[in-house]
Amino acid sequence: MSDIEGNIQAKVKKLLEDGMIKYFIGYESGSDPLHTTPCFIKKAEDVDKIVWNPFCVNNLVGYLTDDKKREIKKDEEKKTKSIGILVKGCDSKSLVQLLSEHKIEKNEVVIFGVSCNGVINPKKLEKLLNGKSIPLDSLTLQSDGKNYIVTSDKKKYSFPKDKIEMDKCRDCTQPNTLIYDEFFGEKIKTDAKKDYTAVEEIEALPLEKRWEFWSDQFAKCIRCSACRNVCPVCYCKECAVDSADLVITPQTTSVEKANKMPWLEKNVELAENIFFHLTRMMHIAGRCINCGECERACPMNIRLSLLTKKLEKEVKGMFDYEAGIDVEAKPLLSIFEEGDPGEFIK
Amino acid sequence: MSSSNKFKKEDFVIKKKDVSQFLKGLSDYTIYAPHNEDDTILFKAIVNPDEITLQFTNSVKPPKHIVLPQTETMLKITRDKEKGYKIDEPELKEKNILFGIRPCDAKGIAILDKVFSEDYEDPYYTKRRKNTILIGFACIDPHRNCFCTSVGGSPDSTDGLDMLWTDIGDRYYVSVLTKKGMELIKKSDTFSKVTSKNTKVKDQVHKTANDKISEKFNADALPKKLGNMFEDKYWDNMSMKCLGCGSCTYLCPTCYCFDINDIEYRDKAKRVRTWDSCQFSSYTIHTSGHNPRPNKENRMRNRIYHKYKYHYDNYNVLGCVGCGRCITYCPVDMNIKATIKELTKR
Ligand code: SF4
Ligand code: SF4
Ligand code: SF4
Ligand code: SF4
Ligand code: SF4
Repeated sequence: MSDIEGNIQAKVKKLLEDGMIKYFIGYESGSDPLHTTPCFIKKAEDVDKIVWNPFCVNNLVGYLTDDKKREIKKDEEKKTKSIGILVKGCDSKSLVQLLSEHKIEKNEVVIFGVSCNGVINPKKLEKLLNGKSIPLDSLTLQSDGKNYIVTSDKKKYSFPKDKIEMDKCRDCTQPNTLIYDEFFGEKIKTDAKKDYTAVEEIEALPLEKRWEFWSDQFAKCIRCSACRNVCPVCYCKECAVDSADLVITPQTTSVEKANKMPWLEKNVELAENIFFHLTRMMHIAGRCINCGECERACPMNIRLSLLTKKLEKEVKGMFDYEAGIDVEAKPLLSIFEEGDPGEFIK
Repeated sequence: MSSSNKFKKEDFVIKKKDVSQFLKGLSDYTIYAPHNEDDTILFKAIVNPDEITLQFTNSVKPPKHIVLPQTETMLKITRDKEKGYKIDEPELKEKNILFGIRPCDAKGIAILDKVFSEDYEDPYYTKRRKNTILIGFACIDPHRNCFCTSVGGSPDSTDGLDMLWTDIGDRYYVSVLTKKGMELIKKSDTFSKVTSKNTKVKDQVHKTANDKISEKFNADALPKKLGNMFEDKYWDNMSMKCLGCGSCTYLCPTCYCFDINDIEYRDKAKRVRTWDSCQFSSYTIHTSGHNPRPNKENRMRNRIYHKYKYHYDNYNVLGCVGCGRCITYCPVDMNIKATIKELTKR
């Protein structure tokens, strides 16, 4: 157990015992050694379930708005206590974004910040392990900075860090949680720059090739909505791309119901799939913080982060704006500045 | 829907190098087989046997969509000068072969057969199903999340199959299980009689694969156990991390919930049936706005109850074949094996 893990556990224990939080959102061991899974710790005696290691991939911030969406509150949830949450650097940008959009208020959360050396993409690691027929059962993992040392069945194997970590970690500019109440670990310095090589490769393709590429990608989509539901900034209760998921309450009149526009049907066809994704992209422009969760969640391995990185690049280039950095910042699409660098604005 | 009643099973072998010749002789059929594209294994209509990969644990999507498409046009309506309008129904004459389907997924189709033909005969499903031949491949190297042996299946189960092929080195051991299967064999001269040595190797391959699924538990107790767990706190806690996406249900070989919508265009319309998922908040919403399953714990409970109780109560077979996809592809690592184990303990 790392110091960080132990210190987090101790702090959560204290907060729960003192009645300062209703629960803590963190990570616990998952279904196999390559996965952790989100956990919700309500009792002080459960804190030793909490883990902190390079498999702590999920962005937990979305659970904060999820909590508010519950239609029927249980009694214990009606108390206005805050929620404790463990937030990595990248994920903290989504928290900042939600705070700036007033979807969450600061007094509703106790933020556990950490320094993060990168998290592992289980798919990449598993492929390498399978390639060498390395069994998973007894697998443990350590890092020496540049490499991960995997121990399995008493044998050691070394894998270069950049071969198995999440793509987002390779150009991470935010390894420390941006805003926090408690911080765990030593702050990490980095001079990393955002890498848009993959986006530029697509941009460089002729129009027909790009169309072909994206048609192939979107044709694979089964519209399971995992990408949307995992997204911390896709919190709308009434989602434009989910025709049936419109908010209908007993107060909604029949006229209102009849006039609800089904923007998108449930049929899974290329045109509908494209509409789904492009609408979502428009709605998260200037709000997406590239946590990479949508791409990770996608069972069909659709390259969604190429789109989200493209958005980030455009937003930066056109408006010199970056989402999730400043709690006081106004949302990009609700501001106008004469100094906007984009040509079209003049 | 078994056509195997009076059929006498027979076994053959085919040399691996002859498989392509056998497949080429089946030009009356559309052959769907596993295909690897960018590390994503999916069943695809193949044109050339070279496109098939048989080095796979299982496909991301089960091939159930070939008998139950995610989007199915039930009828088309067009304007007609004389009659005012014209209705076209699909003929569904296409003959399909599912080559390389895994035993769990074939069992999944056997489960769907009952749903779509027992109480009510669904013409779309049954027509497609009648025209589809299932050639199964016994698993050699089950995935760590596979648990077929705990829910009445096995890596060499024959439920739903017309043939089961087993890799025995330089050839496949072919167990022909139905008349439909036998008709295909007769079309080709690439099959020869089995030797007792072939049979021994086949049995050993089956045993090795079975032994690789080390984890076994007894799911049979669940239909009864769940009977009095409807209001249990367990559901509140275990579902907290669920995102309510459709991954686990859309990728499940036995999930069959669907929705029907009429889609209008300028001067035509179509009626489509699409998959639906009990994990979506819109799944049970009433026109009044009332939702009997308002929160995710209600929806998660429904999924588990359907698999391990309702389906058993209705059809005397569990509604889960243990393929493990709902674990592997869940973005939050929801572990149905852990759920079953926890429930059986109670
Ligand atoms: S992007 Fe940065 S903060 Fe986020 S997981 Fe990777 S290294 Fe950690
Ligand atoms: S997660 Fe993937 S398959 Fe599911 S809706 Fe999103 S892009 Fe489509
Ligand atoms: S769109 Fe994807 S990368 Fe952007 S915030 Fe949402 S989940 Fe993260
Ligand atoms: S795939 Fe996982 S997160 Fe999505 S609905 Fe199923 S259990 Fe919930
Ligand atoms: S419930 Fe899960 S393990 Fe069972 S058949 Fe469905 S996807 Fe497979």
